[in-house]
Order: sequence, then structure tokens, then C-alpha cells
Amino acid sequence: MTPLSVVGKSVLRRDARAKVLGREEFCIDRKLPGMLHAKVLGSPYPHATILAIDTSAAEKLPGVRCVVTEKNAPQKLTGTGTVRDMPLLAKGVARYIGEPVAAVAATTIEAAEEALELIKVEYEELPALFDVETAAGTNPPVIIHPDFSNYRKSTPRERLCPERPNVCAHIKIYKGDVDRGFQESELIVENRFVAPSIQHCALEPHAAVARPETDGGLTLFTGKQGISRVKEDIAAMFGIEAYKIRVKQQYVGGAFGGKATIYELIPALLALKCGRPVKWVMTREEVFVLGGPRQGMVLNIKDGFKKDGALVARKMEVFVDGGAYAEASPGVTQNCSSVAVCMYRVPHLKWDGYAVYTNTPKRRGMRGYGVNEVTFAIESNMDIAAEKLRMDSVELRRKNLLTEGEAMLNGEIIHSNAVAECLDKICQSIKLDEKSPSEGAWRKGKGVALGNKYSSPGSHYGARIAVTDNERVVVYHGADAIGQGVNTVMAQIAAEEFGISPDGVDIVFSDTAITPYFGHGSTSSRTTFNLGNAVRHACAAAKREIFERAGARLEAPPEIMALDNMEVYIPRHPDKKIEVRDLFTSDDAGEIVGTADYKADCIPDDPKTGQLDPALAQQGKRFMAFYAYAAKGVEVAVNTETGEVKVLRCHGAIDLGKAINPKSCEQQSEGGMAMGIGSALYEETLMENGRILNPSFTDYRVPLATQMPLNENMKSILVESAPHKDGPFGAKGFAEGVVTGMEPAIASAVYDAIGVRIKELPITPEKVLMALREK
Amino acid sequence: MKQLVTLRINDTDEEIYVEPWWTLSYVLREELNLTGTKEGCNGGHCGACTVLIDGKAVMSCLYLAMKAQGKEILTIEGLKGHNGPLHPLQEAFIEHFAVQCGYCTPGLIMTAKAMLDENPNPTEEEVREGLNGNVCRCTGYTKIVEAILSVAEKQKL
Amino acid sequence: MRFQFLQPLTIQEATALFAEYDGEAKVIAGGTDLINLIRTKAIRPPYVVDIGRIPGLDHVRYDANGALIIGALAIIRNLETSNDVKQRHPVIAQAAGQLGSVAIRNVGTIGGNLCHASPAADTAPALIALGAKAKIIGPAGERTVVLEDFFTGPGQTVLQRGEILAELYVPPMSPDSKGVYLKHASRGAADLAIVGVAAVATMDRGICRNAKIALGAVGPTPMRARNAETLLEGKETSDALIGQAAEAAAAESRPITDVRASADYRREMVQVFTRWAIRRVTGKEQEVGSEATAVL
Repeated sequence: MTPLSVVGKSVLRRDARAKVLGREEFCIDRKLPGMLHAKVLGSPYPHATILAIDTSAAEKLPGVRCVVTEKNAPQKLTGTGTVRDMPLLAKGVARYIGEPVAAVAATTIEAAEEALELIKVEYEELPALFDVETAAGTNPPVIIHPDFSNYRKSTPRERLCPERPNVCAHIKIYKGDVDRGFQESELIVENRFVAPSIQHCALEPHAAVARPETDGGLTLFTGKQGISRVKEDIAAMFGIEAYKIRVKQQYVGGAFGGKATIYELIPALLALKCGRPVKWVMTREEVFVLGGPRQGMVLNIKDGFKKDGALVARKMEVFVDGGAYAEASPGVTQNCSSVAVCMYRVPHLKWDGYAVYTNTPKRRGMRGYGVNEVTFAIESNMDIAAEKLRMDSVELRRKNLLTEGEAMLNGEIIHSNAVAECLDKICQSIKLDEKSPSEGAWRKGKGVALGNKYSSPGSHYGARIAVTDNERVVVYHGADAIGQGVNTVMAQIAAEEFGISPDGVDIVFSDTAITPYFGHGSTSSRTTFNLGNAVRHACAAAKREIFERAGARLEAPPEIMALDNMEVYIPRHPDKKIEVRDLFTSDDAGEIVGTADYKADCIPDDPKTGQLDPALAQQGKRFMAFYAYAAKGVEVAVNTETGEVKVLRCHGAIDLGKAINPKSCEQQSEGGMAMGIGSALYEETLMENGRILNPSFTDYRVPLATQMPLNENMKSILVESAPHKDGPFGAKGFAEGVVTGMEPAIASAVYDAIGVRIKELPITPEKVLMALREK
Repeated sequence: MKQLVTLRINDTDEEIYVEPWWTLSYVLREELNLTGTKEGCNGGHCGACTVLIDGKAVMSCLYLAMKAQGKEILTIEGLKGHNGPLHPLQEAFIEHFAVQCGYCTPGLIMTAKAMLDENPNPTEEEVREGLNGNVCRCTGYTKIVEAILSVAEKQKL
Repeated sequence: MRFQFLQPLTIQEATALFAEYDGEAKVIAGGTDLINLIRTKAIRPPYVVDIGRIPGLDHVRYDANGALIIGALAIIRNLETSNDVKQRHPVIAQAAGQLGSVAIRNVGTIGGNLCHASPAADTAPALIALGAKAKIIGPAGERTVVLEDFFTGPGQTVLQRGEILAELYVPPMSPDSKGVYLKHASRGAADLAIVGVAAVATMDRGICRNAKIALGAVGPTPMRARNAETLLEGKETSDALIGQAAEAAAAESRPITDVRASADYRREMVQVFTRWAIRRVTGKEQEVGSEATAVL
């Protein structure tokens, strides 16, 4: 295999220059002539009938051009997931505090704000339901979507749960017979874990500018994950032909899953109604409510072991609080089960996951899509079991890890799994067996945990390559540039394919009128894998055309040609070569183009059991596009007087297949570890009776530079020993895997330091102190 | 009632009509189209709006434009390098991979510039303390701190 | 967020405006608290009076006796970095440095921090423990109030219609006295205090001649822990006595439960941080960093 010249190098990020100059235009910066400003009125009640809305006073306010309620909206229900349960604006009933009830477009923001206060809404409060376990019951005191059975759903019938009226999806993964498994077990460890709702906190607030076009269509400037999806949604909602909708964006100021929610329908409605461009920027407080808090989870886990540590049976019952509308919650509930399926060998598994409605803000999947919460439960339970078994917790893991070629618990055969190496490397680098001495009231401890993150298949992802007459290679793609460095990496891939420097590559991105379809957007850690493959295939197609053209000029068959540094040559005949620029003549002047569309070749599971067809699985057919594995090792200090936990050292090992740009991979790794520190120790959406109590950066605390370990104590280990056979240059994707495992590693380190195990995140000083008292 | 004010921004006098309640960040972004200064929370917590006023870092989202008269305001657009178009901090952020989504970047660079102007040789702990008014959700701060320390190191020579 | 913006050039102009507009005018000094209150519609003042143009209100100077005179418009960052203050009233510089971020401290004023009257105000406990006095100027003239009595409730002060806080007077610290301000907050200076403890003590050969302890964030206003002080004064400061004083401070605090912390936890932290603060100022703990600080 020829050594790589560009892929594998830490090429400087090409977007960095514009960003350090402040010249990069984010959606929030965009201004259009004649643009109006939108404001949205939210429901003050968590559950209420909307009796009447009077917008007349608001409409008369100088500066106001348009006021809309559900009467002005298409009478269709929408949703970003498998259930269409959500009106564009609340229709007849409001189901969460903050649910958009009306919207205004005005010439100034001040006029729009004033107009909101003039809209009179008459509500009649209804009883509301906030607790996920109560809501998930068979006889809940409130049914939040009484009309659920009539909604359009793509959920298979077997995954519906009519006996639980507030459950919008019931995910079952059944293997073997857990009851028998528990009978055969010699130790049973049963625990309940809670992971609360947390927030994405992307620094750029959600924003969109919708401009109506003369053909009845719309141009949407936005900052999101999934421009192809939102285009389809707008077309479907407003009954406009899809080709008349254009969605464009440049760089997005952070996403983490929060920008996949579809909020653009509101400014689109205003723009279509009043015929002028409309811009909506969420305030930070609105982002906390409408930009989507994450699902919260209650996880009940029961594991059965043999005395020697072999796992025999695992039963998990998971309640996912999805808020008032389904959104991504069924998908999260389904996909997070992958954690229970892909890592440890367990003969008997019973997983029941419930996506539940409550009268709280609708939730948005966040980096990990449920995986972090499940990992917290499973890894913590393994640690608890190890102690009872009097086994080293690392040994317990090693004993039960699935390896390459073995079947996961749904039958999928494992391919590309270096988790054992990640575990070994982390134990070494964190010096797990060395204990640091206490300092005053600070006790120190270390912990490791494993994690994994699937990447979902589904939909297809395109790329187009154009080679110009001045030998520039232009890559067209519809992925989202959300900070992950997609353009730098794609330029490296294209440069590698053409044997040129990445400086010879231009990227045109994120414009549905110009760039190819990009399925579900940059979500599920999918971009490097799917787009990387599409780019490679498109490069190959472009090269084929180059060779076709060269064939005539060199009088040789294209099959024997090669390309390096924009020169076509024939290995066997060194004197026969031609530069690509010379392939453009007056007869053959057009751009050389190659296109490709990549779809991961995966099979569905049986909705009754979550199992794959055994015959197809044996052939190597997969359920998820790939799995990336990770190990995290941390050292913490716990203050026995205040309960504070400080992370001193943080190491992460990631099984990523191939690091296309190692420094860029480190960026992700460090950022992911920071997010994990946040969710382990500081972050929680506090809610009371459906109201978010901390919708601001004052009381929702993300880690600052002072919460992070010193540079010398942060380490990212990129493990490339298990390349993926279908990944570009063996690469997988791990933009989410970088977070996973942090929470249980920290919980484990806290236990190591002070002997208390916290099972409800975040691990706050109060919880630590209370647990110390009780000890 | 809008009033005519003169604001001195990046060594240039700008004459504009402002409402009394307009913050400096609003005026920069909406009236003067200097959108390098970002809006992240409008509450003075995230630092995306950081500019320098008379050399000191300030949250422009909490600073009334009318109070900015008579001051020297420096935004990211006004930052200049000594040996070229990029300031050493801008170069360092690129070289050290301290930029991901880039939204926090202008605010961070301005904060770092004021920090190094006041304390040219900070310890890593001092740098981290000095960044406690800047939120970054992408990077975990590691490479940002590395970039700032590298500039301090270079300036020592 | 609409308001009329007035910029008086003298104190007399300012107090006249306040008297005229009664409760409808709000003072803006730095603005770091006020702008947020207006933006979130917590308050809707039709008039905002900027006292920043009034000369002679931003001084940080020492008089001949070593007392510190601070103008209400003195910038927090100047208090933090002033060499004089660091030398002669180091606890004030230390407390100032715990208020938010540098960017906030570059604009925020001592008057603004005190008049905003958050029970968690970072500058209040140290000033109270030092015996600071507040000079108030109004239509009826001047009056002086001991700072501890300046606060009347969360967000409320003794300022009457037309009055502004003009200046603070801080008595000199004697050479054998020490002060410290310890702030317990989730992420350190960036966050509002869950508990703030300031202690100033004068030691004389192992005997505590004088102790003043002030608590922040654990009552409707910053408050003195008088029972704790009484236990210490005139006594030899043993570990046991310090522990008792800390317990007393916890018992006299009146914390509430809110989004940041529960009352129980706050009370417990009053005990912990008062103990640490007393140990610091009575010479039992020499260096900063052995027990209390977050940076290891």
C-alpha cells in the first residue's frame, strides 16, 4: 500500500483564518435588505387549553408587519423523528411552558417585543405531568397526546405501546432468557441510575433568516444540522415543491445535536405570509427552552454474574423523558440500546426502553444520543459488581469484552473494535495502580470506564468533484460545518486522491441548490465516514473522466494510467504524460466532474426483539454503519469538607480507525472530555412544575477553563489498530464517542477517592457531602 | 429618541444615531456591521462579545453605546499584527488548533490580548483564571491556553 | 427595553433628577447588573440616570491616617490591582478579585455592587468586617451609615428617594491584623457565591484581641456573625475554640434554598469556611492553598 502523503497529517484548519479575523459569517450575522425581526410568544403554562387568541392590538402596533397563530399555519403536524405530533404553533392546547403560541415580525426588535405583550391569549389550565416514571405508567393521571393513535408514524407497530398512553415508542432488545440467566447467576447487582436533562450550549444561538422568493418558494439561511432535511420539511409543511426551497449556511457556531431540531418553520411562516425576509434569533433563554434540552433518563439495570466475573444476564429498563413532543426521543431510545449490545458478552439480555411524553419542553438529542447515559449506568454497575466479586474492575471488563468477529447481542458481527487496546493504554497512561497522596481536605482517586458510540446508517450522502482548467479541485458537499473541521478533512482526502497539496482544493458547501444531498446532516458522527467515502468515490469518478480525456491524447487505454500532482502518466511508459490543464482544449473545455453517493449498506432489526436476521448477520451485514469505542481515565480530587470534585487529570483513548487529521482529532477529544466533565459534575436543567429554573449561563454551568485539568494533564490517545474496512482510509467517526465514558470514569474516581458511589448525575458537592455523611 | 454620537472604533471615528438603550455590541453588529464581535448570551457570561475599551476587556453586551463616547474601542476587526496582517494571538490560535466552530474565538482573542498586555508572562493557572469570563463549548480550552502561553513565550524572546 | 437616558454632570443634578422622577429612575454606574435586569424585564425604568459623568466619584485614596476612601464609582478592577490597597487593606483587593470575570471587573463599580445589594455581593463582607462606613448624599444633605446597616433586604438598601451612595470610608488596618475573604462558588469567581466569609482579626501573642466576621449569601443581606466574634474575642485561639466559633456562625446564618444550593448545605459551608477564614487570620494557616482553594 502506498504511504499516504496528506491523510494522516495535521494540516492546519482552513477555516481558522477567517474565524480568528472575525470575518466568518454565521447565520446570526446575516442581514438582508428589507429584513424583519421575529419574536415568538410562548405558553406560560405547562398544560393548558388555548381558548382564544386576540392579535388585533399587536397587529396595529407601528412597525409590526405580521402576526401569526396556528390559524395562519398549515394544518399539518410535523416532527423531526418517527412521529408527526407537533403543530407549527400550538393548536388548541399548549403542552409545555414556552411552547410557541404566536409569532410576530416587525421592522425592529423592540417593536416585535412590544407586540408580543399586546397579544392576548386566554388559557384554561389543565393538570400537567412532569415525572417520567409516573407518565410512563399504564394509568397515568394525564394523557398528553390523547390523539396519539391518529398521528402519522413511521414507528413499527411492534414498537408502539398502547397500554402506556404517554409512551410514544417502546424499544425491545431481547436475547435469550434473562430469568433463566438470573437463576444461573451467582451474583446479582441491581441499581437505579439517573441522568438528568442537560443542555447543548452551542455558543451561537439558534438563528434563521427566511426570504420568500417570487416563484412562491423560499430561501432559508440557517445554522443547523441537516440542510437537506429541513428543506424537505419546509416543502412538506407548506406544500411547496422541494426544488423551490433553497437552504444555505456557512459555518455554524456549534451544534452538538441541538441544531438538528427544526425551528425554521416559524420564520418561514412569517416570511411567506408577509412577503418579506424574516430573521429569528433565539435569545439565550429561549435556546435553553426551545433549542432543546436533552432527554433525561431513569435507568434500572440488573446484571447477573458468575463468581469468576462472567456476565450471564442483563436486564435494563430505561425511561426516556422526551418532553411534550416526540422529536428525537424515539430515536434516542432505540439507538442508545446499542451500548448494551455492542461491547460486553452477555448470553441473556432484556432491554426495554420507553420514550415518554411529559409536560416539559420537548427534548433534543445531544452529542451521544442517549449513549452517555446508558454507559454511565452500565459502567457504574460493572464497577459495583467488581467490588462485590472482589475482582479488579479492569479485569472484569477485559473478561467480558466482545472481540472482532464475535456477535454482538443483536447478532451483528463485530468489525473494527480496538476497545481492549484503548483500555490497556488508558490504564497505563493514567497509572491506574498508583495512588496520589491526599492534600489537606482533598482526597484523590482514579477511575477508568469504557464507552462506545454507534453511527446510524440511513439515508444517503453525496459528493461532487469538479476539476477546473487551472487544476483546482473543487469539492461540493452538503454536510454541516459545525466546528468539526469537515472542510479541512475533505480537502485532505481529495488532495490525497489527486496527489496534490490541500491548498489546491476548494470547498463549496452547505447549499441545497448547489451541493449534493446530505441525508440526516452532520449528526451521529457520520460525516467523515459517509462524506469521506462519497468524496473518494467522486474523486475516482473524476479521475476516470480525466483518464478518458487523456486516453485520446496519449493514445493509451485509461486503465493503465495514473495521476499524481495533476499530471496523468503511465507507469509502464514514463515518457507518456500530460498535465491536467492541457486536457482542457477548445474541443473539450467543460469542467471535469465526478459525482458519487454513499449509503452504508445496513440491514434493519426485528422490531419485536431487536435482533438481526441471523443468516444476513453471519454474512457480515451490519445494523449500524460502524461503532467507535473509547476508554477514559481520570484522576480527581474530592474535598471532604465541601464535597467539591475537581478533575486533575483526564485521558481519553479513542478507537477511531484512522486519524485523517490527528490534531483535529485531538481537538474533538479534548472538547468531548470537557463536555463529559460538565455533565458529570456541573450540568443539569433544573425544572420545577415544567418550568426551567436555570435557563441562562448564570445558573446553568458549563465548564470554564478553570474547571479543566492543566494542559500537561490532558491526554488524547488516538488508536488506529482497528481500521474499518468500509471507512475512508479506515476511518470511522467519533465526534460523540469522545464524550462517552467520562461520567462513569469520574464516578469511579470519586468512589476511589472517598468510597461513595453517586448514581444520580451530576455529582454535585451536596450529593457528595450527603453521601459522606451517610457512610 | 435616537441621539447622534461619535464612537471611536478601531482608530476611526464613527458618527451614528443610537437609541439610549442600545448596547455597544448591538451598535457594532447591527449599525456598523462589525459582526466579528459576537452575541452569545447578552448577559455578560459567555464573553463572545468581548471588546477592548481603553485597552481593557469589556463585555460589550452590557455596555451602553452612549457610555462609550470618548473611549478608544478596539474590536477583533481592528486587531493588527506587527509583522503582517495577523496579530500574534491570531497566528497562534491557527497554529495551535485553538479554533473549532470559531464563535468564541474573537472574544477569546480580545480577552487574551488584554490579558497579555497587562501581564506579559502569566502562569498557566493565571491564564485559566483570566479566561473565566469566556465560554467555549467546543475545545475544552486546552489548545486555547497553549496558544496564549506560546505568544507569551515568544514575546519574552 | 426603552428608556430615556440622562447624564447629569454634578451630584446635585443627579439627586434632583432622582427626586423628580421618584421611583421611576434607576442609576447606572458600570451597568453590568442593571442592563441585565432591564433586558430580562425584571425592571422597566422609564428613566436611566448615568452618574458616570460626575467627576470626583471614582477615587481610591488613602488619607493621612491610613484610612481608605473609595468613591462609589471606583472600578472593581482598580481596587483589585491597586498596590496601595494590596498592601494596606489586602482583603479588599482580594475580595474585589473574586467578583466575576476581568471584563466585568473592568466596568463594575463598588457603588454598583453595593447598591445592587445582592446578598451574595462579593465586596460587602470584607468591607463590613473592616468596619466600613457609607457616605450618602441626597436632597437633604449628607449622612453616614455603617455599611452593615446599609442593606435592608435582597436588592434593598437604606437609600431614600433622591439619595445616592457617594463614598466609602474604611478605617485603617492595624499592622498586626489580618483579613481574608473566602468565596465558595461552583466555578469560583465566575459564579455567584453560595457562601462568602470575610474575617478580620487582630492577634496579640496568641490571643485574639479583635475579630470581625461577615457572611455573604446566607441571609437576606450580608451579615455579621456576632456570636462567633464574641466567642473569639479576648481568648486564645485553640482549634476547639475556632471550631465552636465556626459552629456559632453557621447557627446564626439564615440561608435559603435556591437553584445554587440548599439551605442545609449553605449552613454547613458557613461552618467550614468560617473555620478556614478564622484559621487564616489568626495565624493558624500560613499559606493560601492548603485547605480552601480550588486550584491544587
